[in-house]
Amino acid sequence: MDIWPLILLNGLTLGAVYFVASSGLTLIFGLMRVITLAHGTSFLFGGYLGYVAASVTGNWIVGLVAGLVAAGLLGLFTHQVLIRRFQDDDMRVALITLGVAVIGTDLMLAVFGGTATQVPFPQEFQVALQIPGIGDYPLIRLIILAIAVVLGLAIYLVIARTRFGSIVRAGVDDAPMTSATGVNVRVVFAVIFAVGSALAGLAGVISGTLFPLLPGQDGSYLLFSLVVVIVGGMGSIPGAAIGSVLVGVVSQFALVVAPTYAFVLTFALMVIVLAVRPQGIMGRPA
Amino acid sequence: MKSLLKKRLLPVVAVAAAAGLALSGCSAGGGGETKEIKIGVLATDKGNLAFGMDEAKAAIGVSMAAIGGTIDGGEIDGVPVTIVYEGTDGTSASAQTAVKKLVENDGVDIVFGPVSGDEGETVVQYALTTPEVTYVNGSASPVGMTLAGADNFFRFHGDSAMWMGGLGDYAYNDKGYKKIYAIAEDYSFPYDNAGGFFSEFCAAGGSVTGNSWVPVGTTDYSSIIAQIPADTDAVYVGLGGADAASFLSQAVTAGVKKPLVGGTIAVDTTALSGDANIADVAVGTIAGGPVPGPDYSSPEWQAFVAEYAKQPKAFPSPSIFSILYYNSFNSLLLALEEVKGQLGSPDQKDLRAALTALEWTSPTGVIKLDANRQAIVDNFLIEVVQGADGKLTTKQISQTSGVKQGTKTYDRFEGCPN
Repeated sequence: MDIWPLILLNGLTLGAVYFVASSGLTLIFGLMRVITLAHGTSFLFGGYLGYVAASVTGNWIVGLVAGLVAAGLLGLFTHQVLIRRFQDDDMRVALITLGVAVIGTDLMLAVFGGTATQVPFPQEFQVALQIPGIGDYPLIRLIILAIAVVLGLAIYLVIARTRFGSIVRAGVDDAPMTSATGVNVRVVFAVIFAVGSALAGLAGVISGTLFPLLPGQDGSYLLFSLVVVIVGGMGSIPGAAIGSVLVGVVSQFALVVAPTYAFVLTFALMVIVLAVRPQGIMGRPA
Repeated sequence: MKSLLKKRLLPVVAVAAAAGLALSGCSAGGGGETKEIKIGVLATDKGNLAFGMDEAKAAIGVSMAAIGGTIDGGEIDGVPVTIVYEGTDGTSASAQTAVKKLVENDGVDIVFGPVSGDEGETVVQYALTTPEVTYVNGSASPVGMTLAGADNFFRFHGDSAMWMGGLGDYAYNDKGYKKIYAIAEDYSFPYDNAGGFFSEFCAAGGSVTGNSWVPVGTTDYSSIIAQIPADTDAVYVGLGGADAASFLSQAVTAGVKKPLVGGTIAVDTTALSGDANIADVAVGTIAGGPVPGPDYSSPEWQAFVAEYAKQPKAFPSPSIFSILYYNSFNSLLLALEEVKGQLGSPDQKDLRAALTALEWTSPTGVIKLDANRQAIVDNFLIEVVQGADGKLTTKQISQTSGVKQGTKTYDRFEGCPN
């Protein structure tokens, strides 16, 4: 059996997790021009709370919602209480969110411990599906791919077709001018920050279903999300989708072809994109 | 803005550095009487072995409780002992930073740790440059660590090649595995661990159908699992901590039907006690290492297990890390008691002589050191079974006493190690 189609599908499903995590970051990054280094913290926090909720209620969907809401609230708190006053000072925002990340990492280690946990999901999803040309494939990975596709389309439609979306797009292009036209940009910023964090939290639960949740993943997902956003282009949802698929597929092929260099090749992708197209694949020159 | 920041920060940094230097000068003890002993502990609190710090503290807690102390310190013959902890993420870089902080800023007399293989190799190299400090290893187990010539470095447990002794023969002759596919993390510990297993397995007549050396921290094993050839009798899993847990749960989802051979830390209690549903693939896995099965009945083992269970954040049974940290820390404490808390000068010579001469019955058998300050220990082969309550546990296949270190070190290899 040829394994390449299977590895491609693995890359797509891994890319789905990266997409959910990085779509939030690209919104925050693109609109507010601030780098939130607490994005990974939202990811892991959402994942852990989703794990607790899903374990207690025995319902995976409740876990997804819990992770989403919890991380959204964390994002809202971070924005409203900690960084709102310094929003134009990107160095301060970066340092404050770095502080949130460091504190969050240690608090989560203290509360949830250092052992790997995994979000429980329904037994009926724990089956393999027969896919022509590939063979048995775990259903749960396909479900997560579907969630990411639906979510991606929804965000894209909201951004492209609604009034709120047009405000966000205007804000991405020129925040002061948008503000001058009477739009309360602060509220838009708060909503985007909360939504972006919530998406990271959802990604945490999704990732915790496929892979274990453990300390340190906050850092690695922050890094992967940054790579995706840089490769795809800041503020662009289609860019985040393309970036996620590229990063997912490249890392899976690298694991098969040259496992020792799997991480190196993933970052080499970023270097190549930056060298050829500094604004990212779907990004526009500033 | 940047230069302003620098101007403001500089004096602060200078003061902090001066304070650090002054502090480190105090406890080093130039000569004569030891008034205070400061032990710096290295353990992992991030990454795939993030539970290492809790396990280290549980082990030290058990050991210190026996002399009326706590994880923060106690007293030996009137000499106060303080213990400070420094977390790492399992990489050489973080171990280097942490050990330097302990020695150069905190001014510790003794470094205890680290957890992981690459960290251990880094700490040994650093030990060579700081002969005035004594190093007692925690659980790092590459073969070469005690062959590097650092005579201030002591290891009171076996190396990772020793741990696999007997398993290759058992897999080939008793289990009848002729062809094995190897999946292992890409760093020093799995090289030696897999090297120890495969050199014996290949010598017995077995063959290797392929090797996947994956980066530490890999979470998605789906494409690695897809590569296991059909004509393979078993899969060697040289992964640890969260990586092992990831692999096992994804092997279930992907429907892997091959029996497994575990590296020493693959089917430890840390993986088996997780809540992922891994019974389908984990049951029947054989492995070798310093941890006996729960049915092991020596009084020292039973006493340790009972004390360990009282520690905060303890696993259902002690993991390999708590056992190695306990055996090592207790060796250090016994030696400190032997010298009545007086380290000796120059270069803590009394403590080192006591460590070298130490022989005691640990929970996992008699421990004594060879000429390279490397322990001669007992080793166990185990198999994963499902207990009466449905929970996964291990049963002991065999025990070998007085296992000595070989001199062969391994690097990453394809096929059989040469």
